[in-house]
Amino acid sequence: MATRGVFTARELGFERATGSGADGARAFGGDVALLVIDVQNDFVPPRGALAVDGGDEIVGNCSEAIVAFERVVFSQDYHPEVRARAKIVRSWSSLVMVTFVYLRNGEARPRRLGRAMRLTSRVTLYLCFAGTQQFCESARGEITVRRGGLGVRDANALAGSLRARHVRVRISCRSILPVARHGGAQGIQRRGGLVQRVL
Amino acid sequence: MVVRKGYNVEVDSYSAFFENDRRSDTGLDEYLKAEKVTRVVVIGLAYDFCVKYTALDARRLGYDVVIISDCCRGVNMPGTMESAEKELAAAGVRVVESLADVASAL
Repeated sequence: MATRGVFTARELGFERATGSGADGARAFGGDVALLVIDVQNDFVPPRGALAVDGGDEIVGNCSEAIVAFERVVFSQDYHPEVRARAKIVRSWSSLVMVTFVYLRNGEARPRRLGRAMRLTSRVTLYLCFAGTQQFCESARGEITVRRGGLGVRDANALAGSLRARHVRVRISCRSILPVARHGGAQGIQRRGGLVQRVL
Repeated sequence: MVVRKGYNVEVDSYSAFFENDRRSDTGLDEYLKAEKVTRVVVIGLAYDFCVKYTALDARRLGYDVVIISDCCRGVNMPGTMESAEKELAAAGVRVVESLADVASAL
């Protein structure tokens, strides 16, 4: 399906989670912070480019932990390893990972593309953090991006810029859904832990 | 807050605090110190790499650190899980089974 315009969280299929435990209270606050490390689509089976065995099984437990803390930090890893590139290139020949593209002054520039990666006339922008980004926002109600990255809005801007250069662009979104929307950990497991949504 | 790491194509990143060259920090320590955080609970992927290195860096930076093991999975290459457990124990990182165990560990 062709993609135009800016997508909202709702259009992407994400809605706000409750943002707190069943009783509305968070168990851990004060000088305690939860660090959620790299719970992102690329590390989750079955489709993650660098899937960790069982990575999908922890999403429910992580969700329960996230809503128990007042202060939560999420890390996301761009893991730009040659190994990852090779794997991705083999599987999706016309794909350019958002990992390798960044925005500066509103203009899209390929970022030091490896020998195996090149901008072709057809590009899929893979929003590898789209699900977790919405997940973070849902769980915390606030988000502070300290370093650049490609969110939905950026992706649309980038798509526009690439299209202006006569590149055919498709936006693909792999998503870990907020737990609250699908009945907690059991709901996640029922649905296979990972939902792919191609826009 | 979201920390994006691994941004330098030439330098992969395992810890949420630093890029792997150990020179560039991600701003996480600064943020936590500003928020007067002294204790961190670490979860995620993968236990024997990014979780481990984040926890070890947190200890070096002076935080009390707890890992919840049922919120983690490891890559489990030969020896990496055993090595992670040893290094974490030696650094004083406490590893608990589940969220229910965190209160007593903090």
